[in-house]
Amino acid sequence: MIKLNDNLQPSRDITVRSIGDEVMILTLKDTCLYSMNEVGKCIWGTLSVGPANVNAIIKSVSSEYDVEAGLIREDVLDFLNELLSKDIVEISNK
Amino acid sequence: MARLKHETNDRQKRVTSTIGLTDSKHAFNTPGERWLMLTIAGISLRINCSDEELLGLVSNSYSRFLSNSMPDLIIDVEADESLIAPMGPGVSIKYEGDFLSVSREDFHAHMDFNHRRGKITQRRAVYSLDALLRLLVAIKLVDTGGFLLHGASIIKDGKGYIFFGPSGSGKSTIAALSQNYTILGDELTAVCNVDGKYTLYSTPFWGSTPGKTIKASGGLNGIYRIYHGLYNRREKPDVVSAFKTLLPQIIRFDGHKTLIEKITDNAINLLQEVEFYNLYFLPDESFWEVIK
Repeated sequence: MIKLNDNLQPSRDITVRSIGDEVMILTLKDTCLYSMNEVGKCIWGTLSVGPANVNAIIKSVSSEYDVEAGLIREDVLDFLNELLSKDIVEISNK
Repeated sequence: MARLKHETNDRQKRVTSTIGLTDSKHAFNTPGERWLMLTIAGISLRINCSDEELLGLVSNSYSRFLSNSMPDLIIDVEADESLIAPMGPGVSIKYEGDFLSVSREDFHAHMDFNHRRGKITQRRAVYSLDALLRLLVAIKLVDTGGFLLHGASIIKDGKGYIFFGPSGSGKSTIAALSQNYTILGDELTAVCNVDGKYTLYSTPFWGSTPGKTIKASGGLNGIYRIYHGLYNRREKPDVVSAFKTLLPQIIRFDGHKTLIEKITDNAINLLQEVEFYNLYFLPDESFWEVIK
């Protein structure tokens, strides 16, 4: 389970490709293909450049979308936990 | 000296006749060294095999693909009668870096791509070597900008088409309904990028349309994901949807990062160059009417 002060980074076992506006993530262990919606792409944009703090990701999304803060935090954590469960991101707390 | 040469020729003729070669250029058979050359989708494989009976089986099975090219890979084949017949088509594959290990009840094989050499120990049956060759061709095609795809491939009026999909989608049906055209394959399609142009090659790897193996190639004009339909129609999906349907049907090796990345790029590049459609087809020749 991801905590608010965790730092996350893309897993080494994925490859990411863009086709047009679409960002697609391919897991290398089982070749599963994932694409993201607009919010997902916004979060991935922060994650993809290096380790990103979960609190910082939530603040970044909050600044883009006019939605109640608690709801954004819940949705972002759900999304990040899903990425973690699929080995798309890993925790990097160094 | 003249007499020795004469004897050597006679010996070569006898061995060549025994293993059923159509052209002795494709094999050299001297005591202790028997081999033949195959070229499949532009990839040349030298098959070394001291077992005369097994080499004969290989020669007959791949007779359309015998060649005299320089080898891309050399495979030492050893017969082992103690190995049992396979329980099913599934193989165990381990592919890391330059090393590939493949095994099934009827064979075990190791390839070192860095040294372009490998060995298979197998039953005296062609299907064992065939299982390995499919994988080797799939891997080597990736370096040409292409891949090996679960699909039927057909040349009509000089234009090449791929009809692909999972098992049961209709690949063999499409091939069976296209007997008036050149059928390159009904199960696996080899795609290469030759000088910037995508080209289809026939392979010896067929499904349920036996006896039709030919050696031929042609430019790729269209790629169709096939579905059984109530009437014939085609629709053009967006490129992302096309990629999502294409990638699972490419022969790939889960866990091998470099290869998967190359296959991904090859598939994306192909989709930007070649027309892609979903084809819903009736099980008769009329489906060709919607293919232009």
